[in-house]
Amino acid sequence: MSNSIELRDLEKSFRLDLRLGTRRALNGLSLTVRAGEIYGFLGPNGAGKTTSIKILVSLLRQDRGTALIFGGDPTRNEVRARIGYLPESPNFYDQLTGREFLAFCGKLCGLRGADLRQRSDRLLEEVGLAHAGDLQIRRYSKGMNQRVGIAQALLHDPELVILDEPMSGLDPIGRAEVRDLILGLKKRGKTVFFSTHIIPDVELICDRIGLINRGRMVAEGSVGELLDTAEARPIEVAVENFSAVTDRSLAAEVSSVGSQKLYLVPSDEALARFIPTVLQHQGRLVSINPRREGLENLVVRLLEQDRPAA
Amino acid sequence: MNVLTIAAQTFTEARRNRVFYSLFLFALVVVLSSIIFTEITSVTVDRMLKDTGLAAINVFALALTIFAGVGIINREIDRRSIYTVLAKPITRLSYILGKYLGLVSIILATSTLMFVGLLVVMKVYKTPIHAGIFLGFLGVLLEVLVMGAVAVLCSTFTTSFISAFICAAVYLSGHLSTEFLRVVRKSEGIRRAVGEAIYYLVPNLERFNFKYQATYDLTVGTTTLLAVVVFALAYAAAALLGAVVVFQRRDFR
Repeated sequence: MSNSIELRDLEKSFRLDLRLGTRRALNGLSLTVRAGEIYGFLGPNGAGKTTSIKILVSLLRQDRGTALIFGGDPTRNEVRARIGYLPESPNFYDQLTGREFLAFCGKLCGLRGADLRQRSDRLLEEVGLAHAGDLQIRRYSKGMNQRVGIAQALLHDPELVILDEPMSGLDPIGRAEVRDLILGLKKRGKTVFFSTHIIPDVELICDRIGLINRGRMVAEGSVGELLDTAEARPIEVAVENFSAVTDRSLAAEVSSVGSQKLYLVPSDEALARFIPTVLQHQGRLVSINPRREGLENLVVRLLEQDRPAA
Repeated sequence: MNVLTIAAQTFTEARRNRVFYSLFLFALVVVLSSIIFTEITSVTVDRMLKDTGLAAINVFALALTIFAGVGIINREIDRRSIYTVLAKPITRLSYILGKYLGLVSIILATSTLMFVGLLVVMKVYKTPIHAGIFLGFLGVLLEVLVMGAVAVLCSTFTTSFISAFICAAVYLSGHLSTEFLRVVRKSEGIRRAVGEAIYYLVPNLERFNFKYQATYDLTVGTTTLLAVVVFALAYAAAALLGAVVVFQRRDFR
C-alpha cells in the first residue's frame, strides 16, 4: 500500500525573543500515513501537532528533515491540489457568505460554473449549513464556522484530507456528524489525517494513531496494537456455585451477589490454573472479561513517562 | 486566473466593509461640497471647483489606500484567514498580486465615482471640462498605484500601525523629495550618500502632481506623460517584487 504522508526526522524551531531564545517545536518527528486510512494525531497542547500539519500544507518550512505527500513536496501546487485542509480554530472572510466563500475556495482549486455550484450546494447540505449558505460568515457561530471550514476542505474532492482539531467547537451531535463524515471519506477511498484532543473519537474511527509529545513520536500503531502494549491488568471472572477458598495470588474475590461471585485473576497463567479449580469444584463459569487499560489512561500514562526528568 | 479570484474576493470584502463604505461616502460628500468653497471665495468658480474637488479626491483616495492597504496581508495573518487560502494550490506570488489588484481596483472604482461626482458639479456650474482635469485625475490614480504597492509591501512584514506610519512617511517625503535632495546635496560624505540613497528609494510623488495643469487647463507632452506612467508602474512593480520576496520566506505560525 502506498503512503499518503511521510514525515522523516522533521525538526522545527521557533525564535521567541531575545530573553527566551528559541523553542524547538519538532524534534526529529517521523510518521507514515498509508493511503486510505484514518490516522489520528494525538498529543498535548504544544506537542507539535499543528506545526507538523502546517509543514504538510506548506504554511511552515521545516529546518531539517523531509515532509512528503504522495511522495511529492507539499510546496508544489500540484501536490497541494490533492489535499483538503481545515486549520485549527479557523477564521474565514467574514464579509462573504458561506456560499461565496465556497465559490472562492473552489475557484482557487480550479473549479468553475455549474460543477462548482453543485458541489457547494451538496457540501453545504452535508455539513448542515444549507439554511445558512447565504448568510455572511461574520454571523456564523463557532460551530458553523467549523462546518463551513470542513466544507471548503472537501470541495475539490481531495485524496487526502488534513483536519486540525475538526471536532473543536462542535456540540455532541456535530461531533457525531463529523465522525460519520470522516468514515464516509474512508469508504470513498480517501485518506484522513486529523489531530484531536478527544480520545473517544480517535478510538471510534481511527485505523491508526500517533501520539506525539515534545515534538517527537511517543507511540504509533492501531488502537488494538497500542492497547496490547498496555500494562497487564487483572481479568474479571464471574462464577456461580463456587465456594472453595482459593489462593489470593491465583484469584481474589471482589464481590458476591447471591450464588454469583466476581474474582480478579492477575494474569493469563493464573487464569489457566483458576478455571480448572472452579470446574473441579462443580462451579459454573459465567463470564471472563480482560480488563484492558483504556486508550485515555494509556495516553496519560505514556505522556507521564515521557515527562522530562526534573 | 487565481490572481483575479483573489482580487475579486479582496474587492468584495472591502466593498462590504462598513468603515471603508463610510469613508467613501464621507469623501463623496466632501468632493460634492466643493460647491460651498465656490460660494465663499473670490477666486473664479471654475478654478476653485477643480482645485478643491481634485484635492479632496486625492486626499481621500490616499486615505482609503492607506486604510485598506496597510493591513491587507498582516490582518489576514492575524485573523488566520490566510491559512486556508495559502494551503490551496496557489503561489504566494499570485496571492500578493491578487491582493494588490483587489486593493487598487476598489480604490480606482471609488476614486472614479468621486471624480464623476466632481464632473457633475462642474457641469451644473457650467465650468468647461478640459483635458487638464483628466490629467489631474490620472496623477491621483498613478499615486494610488504606487502607494498601494508600498502599503502591500509594508503589510507583509509589519503591523498595520507601523505600516500606516511608514506609508505616511513615504507620502510626505515623496512630495518633498525635490526639496530634500536640494538639502542633501549641500552636505558631504556619508550624510550625502545616505540622503541620496533615501531620495532614490522614496518615490518622487510630485511627478504625479498635475493639479496645476488641471486648474489652468494645461497639458503635458506625450513623452513626459509616458515617462511618468512608466515610472509609476516600475515603482509599483519593484515594491510588489519586494513584497513577494519577503512573503515567500515567511512562516505562518
